[in-house]
Amino acid sequence: MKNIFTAMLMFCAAGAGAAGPAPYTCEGGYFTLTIPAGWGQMPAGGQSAKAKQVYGVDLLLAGQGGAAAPSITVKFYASGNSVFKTGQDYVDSNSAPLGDPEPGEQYSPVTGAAVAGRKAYKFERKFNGYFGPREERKAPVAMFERHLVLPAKDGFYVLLFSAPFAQAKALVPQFEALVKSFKPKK
Amino acid sequence: MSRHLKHLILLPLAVFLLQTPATAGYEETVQVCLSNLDQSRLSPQIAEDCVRDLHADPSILERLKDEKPEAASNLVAYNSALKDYKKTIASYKDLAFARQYERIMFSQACPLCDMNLGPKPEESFSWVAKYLPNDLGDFKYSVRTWEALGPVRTPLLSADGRTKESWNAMDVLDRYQALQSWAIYVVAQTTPVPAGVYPDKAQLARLIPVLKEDLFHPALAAQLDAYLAGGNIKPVVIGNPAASKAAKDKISRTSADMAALRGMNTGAQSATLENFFNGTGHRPAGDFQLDKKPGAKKPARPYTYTPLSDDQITALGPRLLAQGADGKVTGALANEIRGTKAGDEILAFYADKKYKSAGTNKLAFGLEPMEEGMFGGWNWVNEDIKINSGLVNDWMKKNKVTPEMLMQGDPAKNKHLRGLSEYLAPTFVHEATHQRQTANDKARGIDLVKAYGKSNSYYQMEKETEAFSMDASFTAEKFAKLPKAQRKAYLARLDPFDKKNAETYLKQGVDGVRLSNHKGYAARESLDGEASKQFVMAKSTAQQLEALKARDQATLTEFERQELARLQAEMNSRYKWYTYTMQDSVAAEAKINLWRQEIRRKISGNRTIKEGPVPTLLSQ
Repeated sequence: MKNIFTAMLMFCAAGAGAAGPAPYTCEGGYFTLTIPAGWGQMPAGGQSAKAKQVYGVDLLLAGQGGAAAPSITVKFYASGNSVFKTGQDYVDSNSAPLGDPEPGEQYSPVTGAAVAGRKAYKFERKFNGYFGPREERKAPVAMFERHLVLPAKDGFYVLLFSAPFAQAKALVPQFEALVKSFKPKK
Repeated sequence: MSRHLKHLILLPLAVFLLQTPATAGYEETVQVCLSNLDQSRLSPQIAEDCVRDLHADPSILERLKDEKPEAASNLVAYNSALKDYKKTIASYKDLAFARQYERIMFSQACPLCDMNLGPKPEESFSWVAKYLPNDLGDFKYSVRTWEALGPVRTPLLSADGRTKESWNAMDVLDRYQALQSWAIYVVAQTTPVPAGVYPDKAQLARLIPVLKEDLFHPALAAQLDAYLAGGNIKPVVIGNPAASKAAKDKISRTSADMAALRGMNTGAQSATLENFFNGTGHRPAGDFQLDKKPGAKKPARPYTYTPLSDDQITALGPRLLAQGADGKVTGALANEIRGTKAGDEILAFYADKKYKSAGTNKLAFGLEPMEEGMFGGWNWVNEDIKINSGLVNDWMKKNKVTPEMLMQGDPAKNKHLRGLSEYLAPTFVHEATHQRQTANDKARGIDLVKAYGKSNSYYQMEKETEAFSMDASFTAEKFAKLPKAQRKAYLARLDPFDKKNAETYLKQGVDGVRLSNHKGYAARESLDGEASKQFVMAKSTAQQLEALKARDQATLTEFERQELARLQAEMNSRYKWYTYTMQDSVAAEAKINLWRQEIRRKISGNRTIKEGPVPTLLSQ
């Protein structure tokens, strides 16, 4: 008997190397999309998607130099997941700073957006990120994030683009292309 | 480790080739990888290919480990060491390289020494010339070998009684310190004479740039520039024949870099050197004295920053944290972490009798001068946790605290120690988590030296995910436990990095912490498809095994029973470090995300999250 779960896991990981645009189907079949050329899947770690009830992928644009690799995260948070109660919970938590913002940090208001022809939340932030080993002191890196939150049956989707601010404008079209290719099943 | 590597490798290889039935990939790979360890080869490219091939086909090592266990270990350890050495030489220059070099050559095990590539860098010269010819110049300069010191330093050092033999006999970091001491002496001899009336202006023009480079003190470097400019002399940089210009341009030279090398206290040094420029110093009569001179009276100020002295650095550690005979950890830092989920786990680890009998939860905590860029951390070779005393200096400056205020009276009642503990606590939780990971690895009989790809592998990054999540959870819980009105101020007192880490954890869970770690790594490296695949495979093994074990065993088919036995054997194999790391990361994530739920409830004041079917923002 082939363990379906394992097969899905291996399938999800199949595109691990960075290459041309590649079709991606999420474990559990919750969504499909096209991974843009040059983006590779971050190896999964920790709990299984099933245990967390969080399904999807983190993509990294590796080897660009600089302090932080750009990333795109696409996840389906199923009802009862261990991280967020609802899409509203996600938006409330991520669309405002913790404590006072550092100088230069900015949060946009939450607005509407269309994702896969449906209504979604959208917000952005500019913030200081710190990357590197704990053992080293790190200089802040100005980062840009765009969050798209799509409510769904029995859960919600998040499509998240994150990049050093200096690179963000040039890279955001690749995120937009991915969002265009995104097909939720829920 | 055996020094007769050649014989060790070639004899079993010969026997092996005569005996074993041919399996094409296995035989070829083992032959190439083992013969690469011959003293006449040691190719880092072949080593890199070997490590990659072994990752791609774990069965090779699995088989060799049964047939020839020592050859298997050597194959992995020595090829990995060559690969990493090449990478280090290509990636680092100057003092940053010297630091890496010290770590490579002077840890508990030195595979490169067994291959006669160390511990002295001169032993690597012909190897570097052969395999990394473009890096040879930078390598020689980064290790400050005598022949690379250049035409300005060499005659002056020779006049001081140095020789090539005595110089190259020193360890690399000692050479840097010797150059700094020499530079200090020369500055003291030279600068009391105004540049405009200096007898040999041409020599001065060449000398000052070299002194700037060796001093590692940007403020003094600026003053030396001003000194030259005062005499209308343009500096002349003698191109060091060994070093590349690009390397020199990128080098950052801070005084703390140098002071950190061998326990020299930055502050004392800088205070003394500056005396020579502000007129309160004078040319020393004989040997250069590093004592404080009786200077001009400073204007009275409400707070004067003073860095920790060497004695204070030594004494402060035990005032923050100490371990009793019963294993229990006490002190301001222990009090700071107590009462949080992460902190209580760490305290329990140090008090645990099981770890105590294994000797793996001994607390060796202290402060130490380090390069400015370092926090410090858990060193699994030295088995200690050291924090950069420079952090404490910075904290004192920011909070207008003096060393005396930290050192006075009963530590239990000292509010400044409490304040400092609040600042250092997230770092301590993180590093203590690493000590606990090491203790668990040891308890499972995992040989860390031989666990290949350790420092860079995704497995190590999962250990980092746990450690970062622990310290983020700690900080978030401290934040949540405070009255609302005090929360922002608490965050403002922390290092911005700790605040951000807690924020990432609260905003995105352990997954967010994991992604943040990977971003730092992926920015420098290309994602390794092979490592990634193996990472997933090992995780898959752990999960499949869990799933089968969780079943009612009476319902398993014969195939499933065999699968369970096979997976269990794989778990028990040489890859147990990987599989245990993945198992631990599963457990850690579940636990720490659960803590997060409780923390978020505290922060939101137990509000019920409103659930609406339609996003209200989009009703317009």
